[in-house]
Amino acid sequence: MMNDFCFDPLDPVVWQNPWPYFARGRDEFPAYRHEDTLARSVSVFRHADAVAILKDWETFSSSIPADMNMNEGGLGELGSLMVVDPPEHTRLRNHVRGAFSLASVKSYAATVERLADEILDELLERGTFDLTADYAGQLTARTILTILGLPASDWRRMREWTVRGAANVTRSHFVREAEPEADRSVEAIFSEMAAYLDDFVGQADALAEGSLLRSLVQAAPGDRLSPFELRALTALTLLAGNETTTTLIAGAVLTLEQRPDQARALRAEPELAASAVEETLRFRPPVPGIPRRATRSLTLHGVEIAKDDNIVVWLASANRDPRVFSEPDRFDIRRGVSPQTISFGNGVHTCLGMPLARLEGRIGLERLYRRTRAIELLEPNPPLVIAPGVYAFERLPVRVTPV
Amino acid sequence: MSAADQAGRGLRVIVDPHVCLGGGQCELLCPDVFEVSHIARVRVERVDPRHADIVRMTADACPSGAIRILEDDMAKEEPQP
Repeated sequence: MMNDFCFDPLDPVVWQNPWPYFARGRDEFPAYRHEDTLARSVSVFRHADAVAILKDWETFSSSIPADMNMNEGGLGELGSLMVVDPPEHTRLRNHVRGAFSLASVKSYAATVERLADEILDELLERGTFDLTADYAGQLTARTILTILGLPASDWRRMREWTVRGAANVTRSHFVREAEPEADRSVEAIFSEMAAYLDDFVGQADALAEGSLLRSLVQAAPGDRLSPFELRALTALTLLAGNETTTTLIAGAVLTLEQRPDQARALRAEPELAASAVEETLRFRPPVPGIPRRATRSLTLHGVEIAKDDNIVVWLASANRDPRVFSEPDRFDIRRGVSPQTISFGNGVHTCLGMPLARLEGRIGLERLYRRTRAIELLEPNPPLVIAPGVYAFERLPVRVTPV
Repeated sequence: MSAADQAGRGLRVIVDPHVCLGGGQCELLCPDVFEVSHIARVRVERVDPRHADIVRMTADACPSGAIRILEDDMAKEEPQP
C-alpha cells in the first residue's frame, strides 16, 4: 500500500473536518509515524490502543523529557499533575482529590445554577453575544474561582490566561522546532498567575472558609505542598478548570444547533442535558489528543517506537471507533452515558475535574435551553484554536431569542 | 436462566480505596451498586444477578481500574428461590 496518508495536526485545514483522517488512521495506519512538523511522534487512533496506552503509565509516561527544558517557567510549572507520574502524581493528586470528588461537586450544583442564571439574565437582555467567552467561559471561570476561594469577579483575567495558555502550552508538546514565542508566553502566564496567587496565599485567612486554596495553604505541616507545587497545582486547576469545560459547552451548542432535530429535542426535554453532555464528550471531545512519552523502545502495529518518542493518543478518534461504538458518526443526545467514551482520558491521569465538567456542562446547557426559544449561529464555521491538545473556539457568536 | 444470571449469582465487588480517583463514573453507570463520596463504595454485599452485566461493564470502564469483581465463590451459592 502506498503511503499517501498525511495527517498533520498542526494544519488548520485538518481541524475543519478531522474525521476522515481519523477513520483512515484507524483502518490503515493505526500507528502513524509523523514525518513533518511534529517532534518525533507516533499517533494512535484506535480505541483499544488508546485505552491500553493510557492505562500503562510506566511504559507511556506523562513526564516531560529533561531536554525539553520546561522546568523553568514552562510546561512543568503549568502542568503540575499532568506532567508527573506516580508516586509524585499520587501524592499531588491526593491534595485535591476531595475537592473534585463527586460528593464535593454535588455540593457545588446550587452555585453553578445561580451563576448560570445570573449570567443569562444579562446575556439574554443583550440578545447577541459570544457563547464561548461570554457564557461558557464566564460560567466556568467564575465557578472554578469560587471553588478555589478567589474573587469570581477576576474571571476576565482568568479567561485571558486560559486563552493564551491553551494554545501555547499544548503546542509546545507537539512541535519539532522550539517556538520561543510560545515558550515565552507560557512563562509570562505563569509569572503573572504566580504573582496573582501569591497575594492570596499570603493571607489565607481572608479566603473563604472551606475553599480549596485555603485548605491547601493551611494543610497540616507534614502534608503541605511546597510553594512551587502549590502555585503549579492551583494554576493547573484554574486553567484546566475552565478551558476544557468552556469548549464542552460551546461545542455542545454548536453541534446541537447544526442539527435542528437534536436542538429541538433538548429544548423540548431539558432533562436530556446530562445525556447531551455525554454525547458531546464522545462526539466532539474538548481535548482531542493527549501526548505520552515512551520510556522504552517498542513496536506498535509494525511501527518502531524509540525511547523518548512522543505518542499522541487521539481520544477524538477512539470515541468514534466503529469497533466499539455503533453508528459512531451519528450525534444522538439520547445515546446517554457510554462507559467506552474516553474523553476524560483513562488510567491514573484520568481528568480530575470529570465530575465538575459533567455538572457544569449539564447545568450550562440546561439553563441555556430552558431560557431560550431559539439560538442562531451567526458564524456557521466558527474559527478554532489550532493546537492539537485543545479543540477550542476562538469565538462562537450567537443570537438568542429568550423564552 | 441465562449464562449471565448464572455467573452473576456469586458476584462480589470491591473497590480499592488507594486506587479509586473518586470520579464517579461507576455511580453514573450503575447507581444501584456504586455510591461515590470522596471515593467509591459498594452499596451491596452481593450484586443482584440482574445487574451482573452492567457491573462487569462498569468495572471494565473504571478509569482508574479500582473496581474488582470476585466470582470465585459462585459455585457455593444456593439456587435462587
